[in-house]
Amino acid sequence: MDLLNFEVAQEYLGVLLQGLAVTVYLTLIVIVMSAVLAIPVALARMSSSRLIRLPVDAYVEVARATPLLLQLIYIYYVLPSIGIRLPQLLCAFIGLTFNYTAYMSEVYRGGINAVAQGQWLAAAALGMTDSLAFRRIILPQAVRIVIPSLGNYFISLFKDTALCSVVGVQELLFKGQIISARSFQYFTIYTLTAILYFSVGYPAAIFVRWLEHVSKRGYSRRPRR
Amino acid sequence: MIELVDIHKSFGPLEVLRGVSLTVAAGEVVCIIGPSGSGKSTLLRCINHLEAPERGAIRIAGRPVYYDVVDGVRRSHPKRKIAEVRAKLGMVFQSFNLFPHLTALENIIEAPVHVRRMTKEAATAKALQLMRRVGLEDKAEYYPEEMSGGQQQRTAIARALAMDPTAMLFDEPTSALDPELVHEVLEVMRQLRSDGMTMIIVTHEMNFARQVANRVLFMDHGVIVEEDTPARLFESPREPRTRAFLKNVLDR
Repeated sequence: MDLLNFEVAQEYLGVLLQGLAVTVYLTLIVIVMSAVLAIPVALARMSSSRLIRLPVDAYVEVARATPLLLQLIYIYYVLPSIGIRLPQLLCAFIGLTFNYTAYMSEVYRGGINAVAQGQWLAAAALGMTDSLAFRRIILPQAVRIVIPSLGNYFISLFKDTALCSVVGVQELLFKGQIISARSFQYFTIYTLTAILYFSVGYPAAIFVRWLEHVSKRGYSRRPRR
Repeated sequence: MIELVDIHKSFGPLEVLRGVSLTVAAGEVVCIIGPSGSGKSTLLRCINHLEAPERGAIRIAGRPVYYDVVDGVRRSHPKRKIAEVRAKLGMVFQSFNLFPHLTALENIIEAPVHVRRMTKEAATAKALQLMRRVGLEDKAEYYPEEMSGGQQQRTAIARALAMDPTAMLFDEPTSALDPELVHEVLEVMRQLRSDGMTMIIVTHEMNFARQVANRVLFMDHGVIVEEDTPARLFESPREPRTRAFLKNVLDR
């Protein structure tokens, strides 16, 4: 028996590629949004003011201690009952960003703390305000420290986008489910789906490993002009 | 020009400064010596408010800085005003604290461009001139970790000078250096002295202190035990504690 039906594969490849495009699109937008939003969240968690710190602490703990799948379901199925009705794709963006921002804020917090205390002192001694010192001196060094961890979240986010099928977003896995249910070609369709995930996920993992390697290298001269 | 009056500072239960007063005139070079834990570095950091003393007043050019006392209540100046005072006081740290993600040149122009709002061109021209002055004209494009400790510290001095400070504070500038690199940093400091820079230097380099200081302070347990010209303090200290300390360090 031939499990892999090439005719079926050919017929549905186009549809699956559409799903893959949605998956990649979701991943890229959410990783950029979370990587940016996580910075103010990390700062708020390090604030000396409890008024700022406590609500943000609560948010991070809730986001990390409940399943991402539940968060997505909650946004899509529960919010409408209090009058907030959002399109499917927007639910996916919000749910994933909500979850990943919380995790990534913890990464930034570690990175910011890992920058030597002397850097703050030197910046202050030069007359820099805290915000200028953070922007110009601390953050660039912290980003360099956290890049490998952010890269790993990038990979796991790519796979977590599959959860968005529960809110009806037709990303790669959902497309696979739809057409395999229609054609009964489970083996072919899901194998093809897996291959498509792998064909993006694996190069991405190699890219992240390269980033890790680069960020471990010290700061050294750029090519001479 | 710099005046400290009755400075008190504690870390938890530990009283690090117990009423220190000090006046430094413009162009004067004051060296502070003493055992570790005597409060010398903390005193220096109070001058540019990297440490906030609990009591006491600091005046620069006759003006109270960092705090105002109104009706007996001490009120802290706004952060921006404190930053402005700091910008006029150059500080050099034991561990250099250069910005590792910036080249030597970028380290030097960082504050002139972003604090003083100089143009990048003007700041660069000035930085290159300063790098020549500290003997690093060929190191502009180097990152800190590509330089020796002595070169890093000279870059740090240039970085502080780029803000046109009215005084320079040195916190054990040679303590983290390999012995053979100490002289190149001291040489730059000597040159600053002959240019008339006001300097307050916390140091363990007794010979250097003897040669360059107008006045040497000996600190122990949070107070200034003795202060005098280097000749008198090193040759004929009056206080037994000074004598014991000098005997220990000079007999090494």
